[in-house]
Amino acid sequence: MIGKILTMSSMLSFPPVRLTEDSLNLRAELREFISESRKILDWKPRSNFMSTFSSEFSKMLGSNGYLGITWPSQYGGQDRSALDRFVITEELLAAGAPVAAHWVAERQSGPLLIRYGNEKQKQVILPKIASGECYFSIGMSEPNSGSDLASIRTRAENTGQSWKITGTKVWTSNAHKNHWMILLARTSPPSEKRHEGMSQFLIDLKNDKMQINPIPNMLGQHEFNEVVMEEMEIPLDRLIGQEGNGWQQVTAELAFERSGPERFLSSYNVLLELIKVSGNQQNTEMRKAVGKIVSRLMALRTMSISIAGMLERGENPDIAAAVVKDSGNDFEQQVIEITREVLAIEPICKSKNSQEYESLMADLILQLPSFSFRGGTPEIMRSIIARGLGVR
Amino acid sequence: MTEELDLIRNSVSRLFKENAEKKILDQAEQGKFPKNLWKTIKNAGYHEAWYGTGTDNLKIALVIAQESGRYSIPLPIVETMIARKLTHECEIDLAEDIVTISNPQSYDNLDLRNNILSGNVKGVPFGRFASKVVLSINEKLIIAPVTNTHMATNMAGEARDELSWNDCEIFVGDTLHPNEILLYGALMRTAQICGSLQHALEMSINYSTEREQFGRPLHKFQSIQNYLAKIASSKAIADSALLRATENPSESNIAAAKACASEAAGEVAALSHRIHGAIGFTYEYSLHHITRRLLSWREEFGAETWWHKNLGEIVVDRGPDKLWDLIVS
Ligand SMILES: Cc1cc2nc3c(=O)[nH]c(=O)nc-3n(C[C@H](O)[C@H](O)[C@H](O)COP(=O)(O)OP(=O)(O)OC[C@H]3O[C@@H](n4cnc5c(N)ncnc54)[C@H](O)[C@@H]3O)c2cc1C
Repeated sequence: MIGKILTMSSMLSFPPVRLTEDSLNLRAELREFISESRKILDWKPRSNFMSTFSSEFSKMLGSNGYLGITWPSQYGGQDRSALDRFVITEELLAAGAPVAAHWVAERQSGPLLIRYGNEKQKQVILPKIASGECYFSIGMSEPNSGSDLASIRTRAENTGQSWKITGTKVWTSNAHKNHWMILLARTSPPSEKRHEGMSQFLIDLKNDKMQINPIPNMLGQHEFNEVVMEEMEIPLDRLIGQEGNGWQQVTAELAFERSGPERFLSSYNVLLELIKVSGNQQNTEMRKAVGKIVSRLMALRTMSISIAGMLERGENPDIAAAVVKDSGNDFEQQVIEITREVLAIEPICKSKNSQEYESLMADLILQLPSFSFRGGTPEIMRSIIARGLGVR
Repeated sequence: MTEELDLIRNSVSRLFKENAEKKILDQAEQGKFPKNLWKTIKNAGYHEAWYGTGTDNLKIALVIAQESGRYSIPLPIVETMIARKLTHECEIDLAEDIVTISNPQSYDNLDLRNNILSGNVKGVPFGRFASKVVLSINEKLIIAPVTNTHMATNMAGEARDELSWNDCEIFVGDTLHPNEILLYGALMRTAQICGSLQHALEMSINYSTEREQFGRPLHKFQSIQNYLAKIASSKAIADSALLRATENPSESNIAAAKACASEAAGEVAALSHRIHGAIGFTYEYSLHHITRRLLSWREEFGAETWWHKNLGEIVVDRGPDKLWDLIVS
């Protein structure tokens, strides 16, 4: 028993990572690109990765060779390391660049297709993601299936000529703007083994026959949607991977989704502002607040890049990724609360005169409740961690 | 090096585990110095692992510190390591001594003229067992003999003595900034805390697997799983911060590491007790050897708030534009 537990808990160890000279050069190069792009496109820094959808920016990134760099060169990639990609993502997020358009496609959809997609899917789609022209939505959640994803009801039936799909997806971010959605659907009825009988499909959001209905969020913004499919027919070759293997594929996809720096950098701009204000005042409490936030940030960043190292070595760090996701969400929340304690400021929405900082704060405070849900809730992250500890 | 370190860790861990019987821990708390264990450690050379100039020495020293923390070894291993490191260019031979260090935060009225010292220092780890103590006064390295000792202990029963001198002749060495003692002490305590967090996690997992209530093991309850996950996450944060400081022991990295470790120490001590119920509160059951150390070590060489302030000052002085370089360096 002890032996088992020890190996279990050592799964949560974080090996050191050394960035190569190449990665460091890439960092410098990218910083230049980012400030150049800001001059050209005049974007406003926002550290929440879903805040700004800019296909101009994504295309610019793509044409400069900063997307899909870990992918094989035959599919528009450059065979570079996961650590190089990590450097790119963290630099973009820290600068608050407008990355929402390509983010999901490049982070998880592309890698999923590389691993499980058929040749045609890879050849048609991957180069377009890498050039920043092709964007993806995630079609997992349903009205009656949130955390309990295995309970989905959307059905896909093989008619011999096509897949016929019926069901409703919800919370589908940017389905109204993106090109494709990766759909998780049942291909055989639920059985004793509830994780069997699901499959993933490529859905063409622009051309397949479905309804995409906006669901305004509590800020009144249109980000997510309801996607209704009624006997929607798609070609047989839109199946991704193997029929019935959907659960395993989704799990692999989620590991890409959870450990990245976007899980703890959403409130980075607030921290910068706090440091700026602290610089003009001799206030010890403010410095303490800064130190408290920065110490955690340093730890999270080390953890996250260590996981990138594990991904690079082909390991499956899903439990460590859940730790980053859960602790990162806590951290993003803390940044706001700690800052509020030392900086009296009234967040202001949509006033012409409102200081940049005041509206930044308002936006984040209102967005915060959602950060913990996307990619899986804290409770679900904790149960994944507990399973990793061998106690479930 | 990672693989080599794993091998070293395994052998250090085995040695500590075999020797850290509960009886020895209990007796140490009653004031009995575990001589044989010290001899074993000296033979293994752990106390001088950091000595010398090899670049990996610090990594090895931190592995030893971590494992000594994991098994609550009641001996001045890290203190002697630091003292030997700081004095390695002095012409005094300390090879046979137990040497400790004194945290500059607890100096009281120290007065140094030429090489005559008067005054007090508090909270000297294992002071009564050491022959000499290393201090930094007027930015000079000082080696003072341990003479007058007023015994005190931390919450874990580890000796944290008050030492005093009255016109005592001492050794004055080269330049030593007091911050150095503080930083080294903080780094070593961070490693010890991380080791101790590991043990607290292991004990909590084991106990929640063995203990049954309402007809099932405790770990079947979601709240208990949550506590365990929280312990693992706090530990992961402290470990990552330690990893950073091990790879690059800069002031800001050490500050972050001790702050994260101290925060985790408090959280994990509380949650481990929560999981263990009343049995964890008994002297018989060994959880307290871990949790009392966590609760003591989180304060020693700077509690989290102290390091938050220190790190905050560094960051604010650099300004917002230079933060990111600090994070990714
Ligand atoms: C901004 C945003 C964007 C999103 N984008 C997408 C998207 O593009 N595509 C997509 O598919 N989904 C998306 N989602 C949905 C997201 O994945 C779900 O919100 C998430 O999986 C949780 O499901 P739910 O909201 O139905 O909550 P529920 O699962 O109903 O949970 C409600 C509460 O119950 C708790 N709970 C549930 N089960 C357990 C359990 N076993 N133990 C303990 N507690 C439990 C949860 O932790 C939570 O606190 C998005 C969500 C948000 C907020």
